[in-house]
Amino acid sequence: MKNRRSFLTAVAASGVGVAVLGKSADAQSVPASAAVASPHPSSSASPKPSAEAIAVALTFRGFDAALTDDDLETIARSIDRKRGAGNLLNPKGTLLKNADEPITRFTVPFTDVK
Amino acid sequence: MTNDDLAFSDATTLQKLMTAGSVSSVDLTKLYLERLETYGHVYGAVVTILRERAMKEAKRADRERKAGKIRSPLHGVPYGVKDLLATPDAPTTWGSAPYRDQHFDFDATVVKKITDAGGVLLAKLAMVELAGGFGYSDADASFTGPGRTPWNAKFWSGGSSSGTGASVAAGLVGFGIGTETSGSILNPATACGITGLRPTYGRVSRHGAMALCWSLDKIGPMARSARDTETILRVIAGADPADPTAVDRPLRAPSRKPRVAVLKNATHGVMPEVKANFEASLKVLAQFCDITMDVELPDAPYGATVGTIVSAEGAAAFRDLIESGKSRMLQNTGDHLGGYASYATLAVDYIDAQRRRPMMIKKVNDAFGKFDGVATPTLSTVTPPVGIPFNNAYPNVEGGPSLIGAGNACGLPAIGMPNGFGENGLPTGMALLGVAFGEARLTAIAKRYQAATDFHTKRPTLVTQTPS
Repeated sequence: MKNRRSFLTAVAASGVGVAVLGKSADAQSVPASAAVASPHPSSSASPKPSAEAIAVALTFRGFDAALTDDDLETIARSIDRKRGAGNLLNPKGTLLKNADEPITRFTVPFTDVK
Repeated sequence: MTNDDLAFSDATTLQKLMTAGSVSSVDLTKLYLERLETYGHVYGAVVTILRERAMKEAKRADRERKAGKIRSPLHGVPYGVKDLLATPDAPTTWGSAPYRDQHFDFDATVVKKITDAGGVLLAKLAMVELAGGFGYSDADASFTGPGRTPWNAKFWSGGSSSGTGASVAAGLVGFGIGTETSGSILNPATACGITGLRPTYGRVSRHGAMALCWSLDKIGPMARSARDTETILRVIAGADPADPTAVDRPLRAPSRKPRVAVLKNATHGVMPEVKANFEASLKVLAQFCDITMDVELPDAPYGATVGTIVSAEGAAAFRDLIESGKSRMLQNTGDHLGGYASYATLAVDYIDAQRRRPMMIKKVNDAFGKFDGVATPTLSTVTPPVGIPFNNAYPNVEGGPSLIGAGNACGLPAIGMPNGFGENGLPTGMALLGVAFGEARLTAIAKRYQAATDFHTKRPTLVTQTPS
């Protein structure tokens, strides 16, 4: 995927390209979940990024318009790797039970009332 | 005693020399300032030298000593800090071009504690930009250039506390302060052949330190001996109203014989010298510890957990940088893009990572809790060369199990110490993972190990020009 045309072709093939492209100038309004489509995992040795990851990566042109197609492909691959790691944490949502709480530490600072 | 002897002494020895009147804090400060000027840039180790502050603090230390006031074992000892700790005297750059002019008007709690203990701050030391949170891929990852180990300047000084490691190893400071989110004290300690102590999460206040990951960041000592790391930790540890996670806990070791476990397959897939040096280290430990071999690390996704938290918290911590598109200003090409993928981390993945941690802590405690330390080689290889991607450095070394991910996921302390040398004259290291707030157990073992060996006293031959 070495040029803009092939990159956009891949995005279009994902079925989410139009929606994502339409909002790419304001990526903050396009949370990752908005770009959810059927991911296209590849089993090849050098897998292509998933369509979902490509769509999310494209939104980052809203932050840096100079990102190249190669940059976006790199970002998309990294997104896929991170999502893969996420899948290890709670495979298919079956490992963690409803009551398993995260580590959080929220404290309300003491306020002296005069 | 020559100037080199002085420069390479540990802080404990320097204190003895000052107490005996053999040398003053001003003498030491001048010596280290000169060495920082001469060698700091060669090893990519220094960002800012604080000459004025250092001389002022050294004069104060000498004046007080003359009046009979000794604040602590660090009184008058010159030191340096990783340039992610706030000080009002100079920029705090976080190792990165986008923040090179950033100023704070206060000392980080750790710096304040050492100042109050009589320490003399010499310099802000180089580091991997943003403490490596964006996924740098080679040693050229700081706006001050790649960090280089004093043992062979063609090789990396490790990261992300690169400058602290190199400065301690080259005798440019009496001791240093580094930080670790996942590996950033132990890795440069190994690359530079020094002793690094990663404290338990919450042992040391993070106030005034750059946040990469609020739930993972730790601040700890890097020094020329294990005894120094314990002394320094005693000074910087403790509760701080400015950091609600910092707590007071005892720092003591039981008087019984230490119990050390050796991780199962600890030397599987490591470099031959790493294996040989680790096996020799175990023989030394066996002289004064009860050793249990082949203890297994409980199965859990430690790496995925730490990685997901680093991504999510790191993206939030640097959201302004990412959204402004200024990550392009970072030095490392991997860092130009790494923040974007982190920004896309799913909230549910982050929450699940934090849900896994209590389970991991229980599992690891069940497996390791009865031991004072769990031993492994700190790294599978010697440090990689500058100038090529890390992944290409040692392609034939498979890499064995590591406790760095598990230890950081569970917030546990660890100590790394030199245990010999490998190819290209580069140091190798042994690490001990401890129980929560069990740092004194680790230093007790490390002190005994260092009393029986001399790897921590070895000195590199320094060069005055960076190799091409």
